[in-house]
Amino acid sequence: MLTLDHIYKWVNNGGRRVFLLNDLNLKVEQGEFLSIMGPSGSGKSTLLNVIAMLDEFDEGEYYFDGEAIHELKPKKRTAIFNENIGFIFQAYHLLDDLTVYENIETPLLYKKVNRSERQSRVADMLDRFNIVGKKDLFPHQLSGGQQQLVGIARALIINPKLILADEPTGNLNSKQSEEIMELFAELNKEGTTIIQATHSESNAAYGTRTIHLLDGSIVKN
Amino acid sequence: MFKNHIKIAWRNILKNKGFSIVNLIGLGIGVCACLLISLYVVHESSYDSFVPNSENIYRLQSPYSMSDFDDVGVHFSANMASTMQSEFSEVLKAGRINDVQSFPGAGENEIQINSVPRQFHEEKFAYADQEILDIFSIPFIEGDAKTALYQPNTLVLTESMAKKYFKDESAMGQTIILNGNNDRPYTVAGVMKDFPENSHMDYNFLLTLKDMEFSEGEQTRWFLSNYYTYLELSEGTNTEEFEKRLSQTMIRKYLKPAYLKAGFDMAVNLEENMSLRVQPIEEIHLYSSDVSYEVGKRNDIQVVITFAIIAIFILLIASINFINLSTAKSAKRAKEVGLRKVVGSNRRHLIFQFLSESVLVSIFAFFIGFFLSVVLLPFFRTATGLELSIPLNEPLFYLVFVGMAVLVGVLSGIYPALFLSGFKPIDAFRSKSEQSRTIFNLRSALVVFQFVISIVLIVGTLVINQQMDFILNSKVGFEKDQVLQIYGTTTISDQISSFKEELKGVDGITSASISSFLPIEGTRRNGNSFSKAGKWNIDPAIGGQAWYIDEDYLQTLGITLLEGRNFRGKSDSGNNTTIINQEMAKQLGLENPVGKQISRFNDLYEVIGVVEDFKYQSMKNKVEPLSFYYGLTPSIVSVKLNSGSVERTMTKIEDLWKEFAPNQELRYEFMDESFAQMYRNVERVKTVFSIFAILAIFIASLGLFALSAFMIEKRRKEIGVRKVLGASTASMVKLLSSDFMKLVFIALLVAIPLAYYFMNSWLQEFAYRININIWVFVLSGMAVLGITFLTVAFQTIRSSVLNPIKSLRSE
Repeated sequence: MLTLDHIYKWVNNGGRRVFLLNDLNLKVEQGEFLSIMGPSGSGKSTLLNVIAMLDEFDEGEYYFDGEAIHELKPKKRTAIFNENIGFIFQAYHLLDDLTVYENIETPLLYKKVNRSERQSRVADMLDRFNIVGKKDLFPHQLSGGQQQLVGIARALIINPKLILADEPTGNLNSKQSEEIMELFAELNKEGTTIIQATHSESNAAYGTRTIHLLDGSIVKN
Repeated sequence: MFKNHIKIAWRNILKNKGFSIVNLIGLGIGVCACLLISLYVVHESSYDSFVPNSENIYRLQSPYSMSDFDDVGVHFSANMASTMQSEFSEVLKAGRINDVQSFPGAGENEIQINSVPRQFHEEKFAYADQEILDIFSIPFIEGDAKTALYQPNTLVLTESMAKKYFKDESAMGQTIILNGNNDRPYTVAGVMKDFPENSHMDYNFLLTLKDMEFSEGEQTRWFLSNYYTYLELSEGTNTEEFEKRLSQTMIRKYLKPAYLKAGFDMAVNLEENMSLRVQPIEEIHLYSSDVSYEVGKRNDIQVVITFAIIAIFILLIASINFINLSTAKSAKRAKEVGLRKVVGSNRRHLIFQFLSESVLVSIFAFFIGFFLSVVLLPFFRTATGLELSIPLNEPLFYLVFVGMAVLVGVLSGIYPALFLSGFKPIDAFRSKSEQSRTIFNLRSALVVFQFVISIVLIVGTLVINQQMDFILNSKVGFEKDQVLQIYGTTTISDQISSFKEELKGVDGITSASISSFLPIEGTRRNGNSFSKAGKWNIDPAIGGQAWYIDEDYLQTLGITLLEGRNFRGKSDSGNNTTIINQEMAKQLGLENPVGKQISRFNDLYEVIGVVEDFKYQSMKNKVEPLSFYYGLTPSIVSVKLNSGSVERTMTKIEDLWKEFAPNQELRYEFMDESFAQMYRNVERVKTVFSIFAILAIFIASLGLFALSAFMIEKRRKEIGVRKVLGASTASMVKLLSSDFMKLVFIALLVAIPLAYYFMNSWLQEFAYRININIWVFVLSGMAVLGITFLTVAFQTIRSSVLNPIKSLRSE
């Protein structure tokens, strides 16, 4: 599904080059559930952002579904991202001013999906995550676990091929974490490719494969 | 999608209540100010546009220059109109109006209806040709507009006058007698609609000029100029070319020969000194400030432009608040921008969303402004003295109004929208304080701009106020307090002297005088040419006034006699004696004038006295040469009261008046009031200016208040840390307000020269004026600095008395 080939990313700090990603090679197949582990600052988030095409890299090649991302214009990249990838944040990042229903609906609005289809897809999603009763509440009225469910629902609403999750359970307690991970495993079984960054061994264990990052390079595959 | 934008916009408005209120109030007040001023500007620029065919109707003008003196004349001889019509084929119609007060019947009259003895005072009479009715297509209620003034001794009156005197009866064929003149009764031949308020003409009665001759040869002499002359030119006339031919033909063929023949040798150069011009009637109201003898409520295009600029500036100040507050809270919205981009929004969507928000706020503000205007309109009417109204049944108004609302929304939203929507999602999540660094400069520039406008307006207000005080309190050379003017005394004609004598006997009255000439605008004036004795037609003449007064005039008005003697009474009548003012002596170069002779036109007069210059014109003009003669001009009796009970004296005067004029009401005015009237226009400018200056500074401080709240909110952590380290509240206030104080100082540096320049050029209009005092600037600067400091200090103190731990914890 995607291939990262000799990816470098750096920042200049007082004349010294600090590498965020250092000669990183990664191949992810359709249907995988990949966990990325590593200490703080090892480049987990940077790697996810690069995969999501939200952040640029300085050297190397990136192929997504056969497209050479490193050769594309930003606009085209954004289009590929919008079409294929759902992003889940550690801090949920819901839109505070929108209700649960509206948060989930927003990506469809941007894709110009018509009204009746929007309604049925959002209803399906609410149903699936058992949050029908919460659909008119605002994010601050929900618990952390519930907010993350909404975040996941919002990521899934566009039927993405790939889900990127940046420490999705980092702000949750263990019981909530478990539920989310169960959900991920289930989604993966249904065919969605998932890449998650995590600190927790137990979360990583839900995946089909785990890689370890240190200083921007894969140290264990 | 659009619905979604509106929904989010609405929630954002509700959520950020403080922000929204500042925006709505600021912008609402701005809109209200702008709307009210627009009504004024539109009204002032709409003069005479309602006249059908107005683009082909002109008023004749003649710019002329004498030795040191330029003017534009609008009065012409009686035969000008008819001569022009026969000379030029493009003159389709030519008509005249004469409202010069010295012609009996023009101006003000005491009228009687159908020989009932009771007299009523009426104003706004003018003599007019039938052609005036034709040229202006004056709409009629009764009678035939095509023939109404065609017969001698006919008049046309307005609908409201007809209602006043004839109620439901038809006015047609009724008789009106002017000033008891039974020899010449006028017959009502038509009722016309009242002149609209935006007409440069304002008359209640038009008396026909048919077969009128006010003095012998008056209708055929070229140098008696008393008639406004209006022309209807054929469609597509090249006015410039026409003016050239007009000047050449009329001056060379008619005016010059006539002047020379009458002995005006100086007319040799008439072609160089004079020309003829046609002024489109729609320009009369705003572009006649170069005409010195212009009667009526003229305005100056400069005043209108100034107000229009102020309106735009106030709206700008309010819009700047909007821009500044939106960018200031950008950090708060950066996250939202990032998120929306992550879930699939592109930049265009976001720009559109932010614009929807600002347009929504703007539309709300416009509604608030609209309702505010409706509430304040009556006050604005009083302030401007105009019957302004919001054109609610005009579809164009709504179109423009909503259009403006959208435009202001887009203009004030476009920068924040571009700025906010440009955030990269990654950056948006990362740090919170970085983004606003670059924006601060633009925001500072905008704040400086707001302050500059505010300071200029404050300085303007102070200077206008000082100048007004100066005018109203400065020494005018006569005493206007406790002086009563009794009008309409012409009707008691031969008894007027005994009326005056009896008045002098009334307890509480110091003196009384008969004269139509007073140092108050609107009373009689004339134009005369003076020269040194015997130098008439040899030396260049000087222009000046010749006033007829009685022996009590100087005492009643408190005019100081510097040399020589006052008039003694009837013995000075017709004996060619005159009293002159200092300016006359100066301009004629007389060293010891008393006993010397001067020429007025071709006649010689002996100077028996010199009076101190007194300001008999508006202070926009310098005192010009003036001379007094003994004679009876009976339309006004002036009475000087002593400081006793005015009320009791008034009763006595009324009783006395009833004896002399049982059928006429006493009409009087106190001189200090009529003096103040002369400056009513300046007074209005002052009021309107003050109001809008206050509004501008209010809106600007409102913005500053909110802006400083945001800045302090952002530095809350810093405040917390500093307090933990032991900083006092006072030092925090100093730290936080210094940023804004710097901006005010910059604004002062820009505003002071600007304000000085503008106000100095405004003052040039006045011959007698104040010098702009440095204190005006100091005061304005202090005021703005004070307001800024208080605003910021309030916010700082509020946030620094909070428990520092609280503000630190939230990070």
